[in-house]
Amino acid sequence: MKKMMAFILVVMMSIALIPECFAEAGDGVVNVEFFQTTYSQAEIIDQIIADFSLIHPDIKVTQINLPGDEADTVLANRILNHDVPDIFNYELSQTLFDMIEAGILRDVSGTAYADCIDAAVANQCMYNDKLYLLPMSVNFMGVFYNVEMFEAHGWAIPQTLDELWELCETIQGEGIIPFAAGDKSGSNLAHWVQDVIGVYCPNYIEDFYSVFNGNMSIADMEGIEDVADIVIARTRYCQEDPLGYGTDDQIALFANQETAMYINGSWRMSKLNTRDLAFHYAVFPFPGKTAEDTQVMSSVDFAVVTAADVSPEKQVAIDTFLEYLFSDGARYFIEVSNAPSAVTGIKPDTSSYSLLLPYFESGRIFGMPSNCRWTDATYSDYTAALQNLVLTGEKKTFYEEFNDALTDYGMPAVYIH
Amino acid sequence: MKKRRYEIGMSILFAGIVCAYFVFTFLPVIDGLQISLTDWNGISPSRNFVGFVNYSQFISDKHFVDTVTITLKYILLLSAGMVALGYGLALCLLQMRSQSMLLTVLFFPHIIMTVISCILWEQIFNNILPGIGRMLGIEKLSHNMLSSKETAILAVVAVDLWHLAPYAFLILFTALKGIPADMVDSARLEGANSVQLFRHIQFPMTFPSFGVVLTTAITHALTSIDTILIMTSGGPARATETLYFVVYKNSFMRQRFGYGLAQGVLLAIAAILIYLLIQAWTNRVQTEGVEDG
Repeated sequence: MKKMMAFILVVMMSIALIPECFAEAGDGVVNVEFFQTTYSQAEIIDQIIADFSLIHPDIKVTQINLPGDEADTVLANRILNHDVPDIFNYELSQTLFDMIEAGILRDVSGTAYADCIDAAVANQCMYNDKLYLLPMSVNFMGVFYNVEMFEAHGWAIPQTLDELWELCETIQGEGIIPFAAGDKSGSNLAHWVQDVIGVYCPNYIEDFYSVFNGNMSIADMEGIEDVADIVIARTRYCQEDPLGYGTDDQIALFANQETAMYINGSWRMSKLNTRDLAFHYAVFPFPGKTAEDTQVMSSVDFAVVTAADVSPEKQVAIDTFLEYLFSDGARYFIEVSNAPSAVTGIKPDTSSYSLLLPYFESGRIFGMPSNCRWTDATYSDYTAALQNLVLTGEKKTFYEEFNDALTDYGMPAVYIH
Repeated sequence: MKKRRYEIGMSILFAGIVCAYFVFTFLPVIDGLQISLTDWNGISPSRNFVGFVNYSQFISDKHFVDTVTITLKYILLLSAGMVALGYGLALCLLQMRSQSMLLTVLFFPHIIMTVISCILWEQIFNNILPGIGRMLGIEKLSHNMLSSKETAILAVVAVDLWHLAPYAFLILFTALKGIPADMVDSARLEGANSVQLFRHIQFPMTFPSFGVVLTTAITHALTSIDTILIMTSGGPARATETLYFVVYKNSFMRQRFGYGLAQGVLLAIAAILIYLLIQAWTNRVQTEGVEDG
């Protein structure tokens, strides 16, 4: 009797382990999964989904949100197992094109929601004249500063690089740390230096192409020495041990008014906006050697893709959600994140980055240099080279490592401007 | 009849376990070996056979020596730390009265989740330790250990030790408590001091447990990257990139699954060799001990 009971218990426990995902939602409700790969925007999407569900109770959208870098690993695992999420946000990268080539992503050209996107931004996202990536916002890189601190001390916004270093000296002289750095997070450092490359290396696209082809080395690239000098100089004006601080630490230092400025992208603004700041912040562009040289790095920021292989019923549900996401959803997203909109007809509150608007209006913007389709391996080695430069200040080693990062993995499959 | 039914039941259960092992362990290993011979990026439906290119590429990689060096450093520091702290804490606790309560307190760090431990220790390395270092005038401690190439791996080992040493302590404490009291008393009566007691009685008698602790430490160093991922992401400038981290990085962060799996295969072979060496050594020592005894 006891053995029979034990056997029945084991069988019941085994049945309970069978995943619930085999069960489809009942009562005509269609499940759609939104896989969030950038946890900083999860709360905004949660609200959009909640508002959508009030209008469409027959479509249940669930956001899967994982912390930090785990989302990328889980997504990679799921793609390996042919379990592609219905909708997920992604970025312009070689991996995106690999996914398109593998037939994992759906071509959304010509859909009603794709037509809502600004033509110039949509053009950046095209692959073989088709649209797979739907951008909702564009980003920018800049120097975030404490407005009240600047006004109280009478500090002027620097227009040139020399003025920026003079300002840093002044700030340091008053016992305040000029910059908050978060170099432990490789992407913080890597993205900022891409901004510097775009401003100080006038022929970066052609020069990277030449390096890929083995026709020149990074050390010969026009402006690269200025880039290295700027990285070394910035290290003098940030908190001690910048490689021990990550993104959250960097934002905390700035939010707690321990530093006057921090350099990062608009994709971090939503994190800053959720803090109860005791001051206002604004953004100015990282200056060039002269005011005329200054440009702003801007690229696609929050963007979504959809899975190619879904049932017709689910496709209808996904389309319905995306139509909402790129209309009322986008309005809410832009309002909360304050990011420049990629959706036509939506104007964000630009007061915090009004100093950048003239650059957008006059076309003095450029895309991320790594949009020359660097592979993930190239980007990873480039980041390690930068961290080494911050640690050691050795420019020669930096040039060698950066050169190897570009040449070790071959020329990217797709090369565009 | 009953015995026959019992045997049939056990055979069915055993067959189930063997099937599960075959499906969830053996088959993936074979698949992994196959993928390691291709240039698969984890996404493309096609996998092009490249032979042993991935293997030779890894061995000839300019960072290979650094990666192996960092891994060996990690293994040695973690093993030595776990054994030293495990025995140290166990021997101290043996002399004390309120052993149950202290046992609970000492084991507490082990039950805290790795993520929480890492977040806690990040704040200690960022703010508390540099302050103490500056106060005491210790240059190496005056900076964030995570931000220096020389000390980042030491910081990672420290966090792992904080988490794992309680486990080693528990194993060794239990083993030490199992030594017959009259043996210890006889040794003391004959004038053995603490060092002699440990060397001639306590260590030999707990040698199997020492082997378990050593194997645990080495296994953790070879197959765990939680602490490294959370605290340093392999940095600064690759200073904490162990072999396993490199496998993870190439597979999931760089979308080079074929290459990552080739590295994984080589790592598995190294781990098996290390395990066999330790087993052979511990068996030999134990056998010699029995012969001497």
